[in-house]
Amino acid sequence: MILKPKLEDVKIIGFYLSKIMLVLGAAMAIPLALSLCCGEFDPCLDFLIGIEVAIAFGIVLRYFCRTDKDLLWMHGMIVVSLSWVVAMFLAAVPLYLSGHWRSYFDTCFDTMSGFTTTGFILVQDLDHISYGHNLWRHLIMFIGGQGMVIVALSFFVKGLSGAFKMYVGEARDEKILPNVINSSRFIWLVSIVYLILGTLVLGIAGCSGGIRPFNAFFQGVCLFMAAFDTGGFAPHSQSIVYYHSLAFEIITVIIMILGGGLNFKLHYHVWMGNRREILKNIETRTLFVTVVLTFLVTAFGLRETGIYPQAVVMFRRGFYHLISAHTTTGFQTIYGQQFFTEWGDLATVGLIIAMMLGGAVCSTTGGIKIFRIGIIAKAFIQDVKRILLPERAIVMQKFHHIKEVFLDDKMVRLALIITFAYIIFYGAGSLIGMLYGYPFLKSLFESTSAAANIGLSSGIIAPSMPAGLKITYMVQMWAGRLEFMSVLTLLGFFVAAIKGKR
Amino acid sequence: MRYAGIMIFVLALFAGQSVCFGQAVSSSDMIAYPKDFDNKTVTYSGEVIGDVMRRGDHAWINVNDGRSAVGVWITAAMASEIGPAGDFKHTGDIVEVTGVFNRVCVQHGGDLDIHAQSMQVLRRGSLKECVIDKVKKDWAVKLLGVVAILWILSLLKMR
Repeated sequence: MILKPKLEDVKIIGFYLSKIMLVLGAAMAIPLALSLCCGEFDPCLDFLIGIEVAIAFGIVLRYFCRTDKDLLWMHGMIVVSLSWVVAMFLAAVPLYLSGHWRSYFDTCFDTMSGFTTTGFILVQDLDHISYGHNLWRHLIMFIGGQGMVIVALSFFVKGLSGAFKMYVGEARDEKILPNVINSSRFIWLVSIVYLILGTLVLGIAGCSGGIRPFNAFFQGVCLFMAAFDTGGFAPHSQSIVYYHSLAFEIITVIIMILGGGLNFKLHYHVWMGNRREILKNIETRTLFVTVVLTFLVTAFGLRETGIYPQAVVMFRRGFYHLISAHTTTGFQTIYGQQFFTEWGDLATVGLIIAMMLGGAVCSTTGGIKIFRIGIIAKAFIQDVKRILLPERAIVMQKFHHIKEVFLDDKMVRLALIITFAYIIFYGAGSLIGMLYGYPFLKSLFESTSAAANIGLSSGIIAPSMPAGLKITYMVQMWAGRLEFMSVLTLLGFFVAAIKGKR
Repeated sequence: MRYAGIMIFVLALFAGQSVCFGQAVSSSDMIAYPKDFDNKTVTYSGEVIGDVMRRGDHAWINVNDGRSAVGVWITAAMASEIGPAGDFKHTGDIVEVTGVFNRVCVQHGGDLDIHAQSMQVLRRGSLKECVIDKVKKDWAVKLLGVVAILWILSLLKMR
């Protein structure tokens, strides 16, 4: 029997949502300040209105939903899934007012793409956007990549015992430190340290590559946020093509691997001096194997088409896009259409497989995640051993993830369920794409890119694409980023509200 | 003999000119059908956006024709002719570039680019007028009042 939610449930959810709204309003002060400093006065008004709208809704919701009760699991999950939708609408306000998007709906598509660290864009004339709006696009990605609720947990929520429920709802099922708020703060510490280093390195590379110093460091900040949070937005419409620079490609590959390829828990242990963990961890080992295998497929495909006359050039283009796809970032050093006109099917399939797999759990990446792939591979090995060894033999399978862990059936079941859900999701999106008349491989490419939060596009993503397809990709980005559970809880909550009994 | 001399002069003039004329192309053509233009001389025009990135005796510019932007490898002398590049505050120079299109430029690690042989500034870029939208300004002030009232009401409820 499903129980109808009580008013108190709605108030708890509303109260925590109001905190997220206020945090988002406060975050808009950063691009406002930049616009002021740069003398962009009209964009200042966009951010002022954005802040006012977010704060007004936040105050009203807090006024009506004030409560002292703590979150239950259901509340935590619903707060998380709704936060992303509410944030999408609020963050879109200043961007829409800039006049660079055809409609508010298109702006919401871009903000959902930003928060979920996907990187699809419908913005028009990006090369003439203000510094403030451009920073806000990338900041959205940073906030989303860190986990919107983590932002609130780290700085604005004190003594919240229900914090872990929201933390898990944002698809982070590993605590780095015993206390979830300390875990959130550690994630911020890591990110800020890398932000400073990454910006410096990218800024210096930009200056030496002929970019004006202010632009070099501004674009350094933006690119770092997009690379570390495996988002894929870029300050210019050409993505990384704009820079025509090997240095930018090398630096962004390193940042993509740091942000998307490595678990924050692994970062913690490496920072604490346990450097051997990198070599022993199941995730890094699985990542190495999957990168090698998918690169071989891509390289073989590129060799077949013969597009790149030199092996070095082929490696530079192929490996960059493979890492961009595998870490679910979505930076491009070729134009999107070239995947299909120049790369050929086999190389593109290599990329699609890498996109499906994704990066590490408890990182900023999307997709199935290599931890689960590692677990499934170990389970497969265990079953093969069971067949080969005598029936009486007890086969135990271990793996190393910070400590030695024995593989159990519950772990394998969970990994398989999530993997299966992602595969269904990738397939469903591509089916919808095909219903709109796009070819199979292009539809699969775009659907995988949306659901695994990558942002590489084959050319389907455009302001002129059908509204139904835009909604499909928005749902895929949202549910894919949160790994389904929070979204399914929200759907269950609505069903209970309609069909539940008192 | 005199006419023959004139003919040779005219032919030489046109032969010289032909190097600087190529098939007029758009960015979407070059990106969608790169094989058709590979290693051919093309003429491409658009707005210079972002930065003029000087690299030794050459420079990179990105030229946007309203659909997409394509990288153009120009000499330092050509780069010095470029005024403002397009950004939020500026409309960039509109240039017409004639050069060799590379579908996969081996010199530049596989870039899709144009190596310019000649460049002409068709229209000078300029500083955009800073206009503040009056409707936005009014809304910002009204919403400020709403937020202030809501804040006071919420403070009163807390007491």
